[in-house]
Amino acid sequence: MTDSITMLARYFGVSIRAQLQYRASFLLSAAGQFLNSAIEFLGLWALFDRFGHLAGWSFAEVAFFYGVINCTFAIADALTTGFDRFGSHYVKTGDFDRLLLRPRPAALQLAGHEFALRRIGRLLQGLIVLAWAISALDIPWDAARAALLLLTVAGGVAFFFGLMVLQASLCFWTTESLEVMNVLTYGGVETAQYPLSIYHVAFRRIFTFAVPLGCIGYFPIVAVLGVDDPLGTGRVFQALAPLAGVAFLGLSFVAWGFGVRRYTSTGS
Amino acid sequence: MNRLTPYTAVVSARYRNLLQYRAAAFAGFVTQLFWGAVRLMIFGAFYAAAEGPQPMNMVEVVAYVWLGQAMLGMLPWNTDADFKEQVASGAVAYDLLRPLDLYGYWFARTLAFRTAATTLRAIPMVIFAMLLLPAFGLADWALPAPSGAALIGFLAAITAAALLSTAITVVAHISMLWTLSGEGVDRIMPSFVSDDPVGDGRAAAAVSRLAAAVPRVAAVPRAVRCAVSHLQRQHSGRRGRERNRVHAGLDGRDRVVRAFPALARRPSPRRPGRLTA
Repeated sequence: MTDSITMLARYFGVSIRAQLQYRASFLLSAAGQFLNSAIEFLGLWALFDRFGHLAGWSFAEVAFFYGVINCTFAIADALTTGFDRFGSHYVKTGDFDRLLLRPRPAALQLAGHEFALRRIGRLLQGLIVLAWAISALDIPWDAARAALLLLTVAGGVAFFFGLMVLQASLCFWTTESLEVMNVLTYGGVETAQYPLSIYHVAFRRIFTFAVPLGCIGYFPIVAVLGVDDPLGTGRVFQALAPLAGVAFLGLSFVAWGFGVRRYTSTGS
Repeated sequence: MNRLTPYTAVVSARYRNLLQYRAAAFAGFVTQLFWGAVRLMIFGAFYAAAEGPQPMNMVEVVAYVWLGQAMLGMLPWNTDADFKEQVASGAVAYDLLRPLDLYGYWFARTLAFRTAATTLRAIPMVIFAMLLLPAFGLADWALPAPSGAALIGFLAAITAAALLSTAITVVAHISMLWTLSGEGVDRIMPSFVSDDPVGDGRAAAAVSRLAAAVPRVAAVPRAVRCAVSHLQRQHSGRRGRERNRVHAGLDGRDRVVRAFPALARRPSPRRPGRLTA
């Protein structure tokens, strides 16, 4: 375990130093990321400026949802480049063989493929929005709330990590990465920027039970904000919901294990 | 022979080539369907509690969202991977040797690139939103059938939009002659396009100010010719004079190198002849 962590830290260190060799490229990519999500937020502001509130949710509350999910996704996205590129970089080329030959878990090596520093743009933007939302909202902060917020982010990172592992696992069957998975990753971020309660009931069920997006965003955040859930869930469920993200990650690794056992090299 | 024939041939050949990618188009269709549904639910929630009449009513917003999703690929949000490949490999230089106007040729290719994928996505999207949604009992969320006048207006607008979007994409392509890599421009372009209906007065004003800053279609070819002639300008400075001397007494290959000095800056295994020049 300690060995794995040291290994991962080495991988990340190498990756960060490599990216800093192209400093201008890194700065521009990070700025691009920042700009992309900032302009999205401008769209959100325009809507609230016009309508005032969203089914009872204030702008600051929705900004809180927005900030948390964007920070979460930025962290997960930075860690999973290897899984994202798995189809084209490893399965198609047969390079996955090399990973299997090394005396370390393949998943660990893939996580170490790249630590995408440019995601700091989205993270920064999410943090700024979150900081503004916290200052605008009157949340009585205590240790429990802060811990739940951290658990939410951790659960969310586990959830998006799991999605990427699942996407990579599918490559064992499809070879190419499935673009449709973007619906769950980028689409998931888009969906979770708004409170789950505004969506259609079928949609809500999918994003609670099949893909636990609501469990790593909406439900725990409702508890952190201290508002009553229009969907009628209790505080205990809300506080424990982020664990669904960790469970999702576990299931994804089960699927990954199936895939690895099924893998046959392209032979080139 | 009609002077336009080679260009229409380029558009048609490239268009038919790109129509092959049906699996990717299906993935895009599913993605955009999801996006459309999410946006409609968000707007639905906003409108449900809205006080007083809005600049766009909900029926118009529904039409806007579906058409926006159907036509999303036509926005200038990315560049042609083939063109990027050509610049990276240096093969773009061959385009200079073709007996065609360079801008016209690139515009024709890009027009096909901008419209082919969109066609593949827009047709199932319109069928779904206009015909299938009412059949599922979701008529409130369906794309309403347009009146004859609206359809004509739409076709005229979408044609002009295709030309403008193509022109902007060509400018992005041309930027690669400096940068040699499309990575940066590919990351920045999505920031400038948005599929949100802008109902707010101030936001609309900001957008129209931005739109005014975007060069008009007619101005773009001229700007490009300026850019190309800038590339062809004689170099100054000690290194530049050296380069001019090397490039004096031009044959076809050197003309290409002179037009795109960026291509000559890197050692390329494809041009061993340069060593002996």
